[in-house]
Amino acid sequence: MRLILLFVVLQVGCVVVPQNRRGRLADKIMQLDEDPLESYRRSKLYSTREAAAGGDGVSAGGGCGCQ
Amino acid sequence: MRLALALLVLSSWSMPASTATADTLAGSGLLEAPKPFTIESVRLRYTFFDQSGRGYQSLAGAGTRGPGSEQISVSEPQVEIIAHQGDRITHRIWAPLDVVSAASPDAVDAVSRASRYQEAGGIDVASTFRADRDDEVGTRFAIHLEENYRSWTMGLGWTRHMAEDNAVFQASLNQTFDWFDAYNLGGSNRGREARSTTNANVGFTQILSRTTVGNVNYGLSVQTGELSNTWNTVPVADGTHGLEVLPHLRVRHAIVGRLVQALPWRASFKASYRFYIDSWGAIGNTIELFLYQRITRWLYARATYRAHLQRGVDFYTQLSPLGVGLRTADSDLADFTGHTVGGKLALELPLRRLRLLAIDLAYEHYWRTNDLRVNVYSASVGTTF
Repeated sequence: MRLILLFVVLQVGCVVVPQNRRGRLADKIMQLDEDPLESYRRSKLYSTREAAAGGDGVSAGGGCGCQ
Repeated sequence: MRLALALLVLSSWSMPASTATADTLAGSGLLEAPKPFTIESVRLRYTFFDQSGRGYQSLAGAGTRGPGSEQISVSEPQVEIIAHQGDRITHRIWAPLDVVSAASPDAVDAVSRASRYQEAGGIDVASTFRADRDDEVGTRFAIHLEENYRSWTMGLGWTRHMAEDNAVFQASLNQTFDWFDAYNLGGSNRGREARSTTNANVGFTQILSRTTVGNVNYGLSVQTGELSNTWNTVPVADGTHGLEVLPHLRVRHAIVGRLVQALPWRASFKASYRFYIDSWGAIGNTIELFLYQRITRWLYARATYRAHLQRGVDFYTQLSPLGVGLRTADSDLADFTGHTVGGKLALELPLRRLRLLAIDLAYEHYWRTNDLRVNVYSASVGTTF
């Protein structure tokens, strides 16, 4: 089972999609972070009301009196 | 006719083919020198948070041992400007502002409005420099001001594009210093306290197919200093209240996996999972799901669901024994499950003079199993030049 999983991961890692085949990926609804301002307000909602934070490229805590 | 032919030949000699081509390209804008400074986009977002609930850290309307009110409202305007300096440097200038009412009303209000009414604002400037075809380096400087609170952040980042941009590796380091007034339970000022947060992140994004993108991020944050806001209280066994007492070190780990998948009917699906653990004993498992549907080329809708399962910190209590030890009654640090449902409608109109006009409206409802509810209303308008 682990070997199969490793094989799948390696196969996926070797995929190179040419630029002219990435039309769907350019759509805004395909972006990992479609709007940084909205990501901030979501992050603020959760980081000030939950113990868990971080993992999204910014500090977990600090920088504000509310966290 | 011969004269016209001769003139044509002479004119072609006097204008070499390459120059003619260059002029044509310059006329099309392809070979123009980069402008020293151009603004790419400006965006405004306004969000209103309306929160209700009860928590043991609040004294507002609390009895001897009962939880107090966590009623607050927050108005949060933000503005973001993206600008280019030459063809290699990009600046993101971002200014968020928070106006908070009734953050945590209690005795601190005797000397400070900080827990009752708070205006907070800051400015954050992130700049990236494209060093070559594959590498970008970035810096970040931010300041944040509140009535009783000052904060400074500096950051460095590196991005490496690989395999014809099919894969992107990112690493960043941030350092934040906070400096703020601390209060005793009676409201008297007990001087200045400081807090440091050191944060490191690594991330990897990979195009998995023509319709799929995957991303993994890990973040480590190490916090030292006074980690309480200094006005949270704890009910004590003798019927009184005391201040919360937190460790002066917190090591926080978070790993996030995200997947974006295009769907055949002009839609997409995003899923993310985060595992969080820290040195205070808190553990969080969070899943987030988004479903996007394009209604027209310039209009799309989004539905959201999020679930957060949290094991609280080791020293959370709703009734502290006598004596001084680690303790908190902060409901944010307790065991609970949180849910969010929401929706968004976004309009992106290409206009003659502006490249794009973007407007969106969003609503989310967040609720927790330990008595907290938040309604979030948000609207945005922005333009790309």
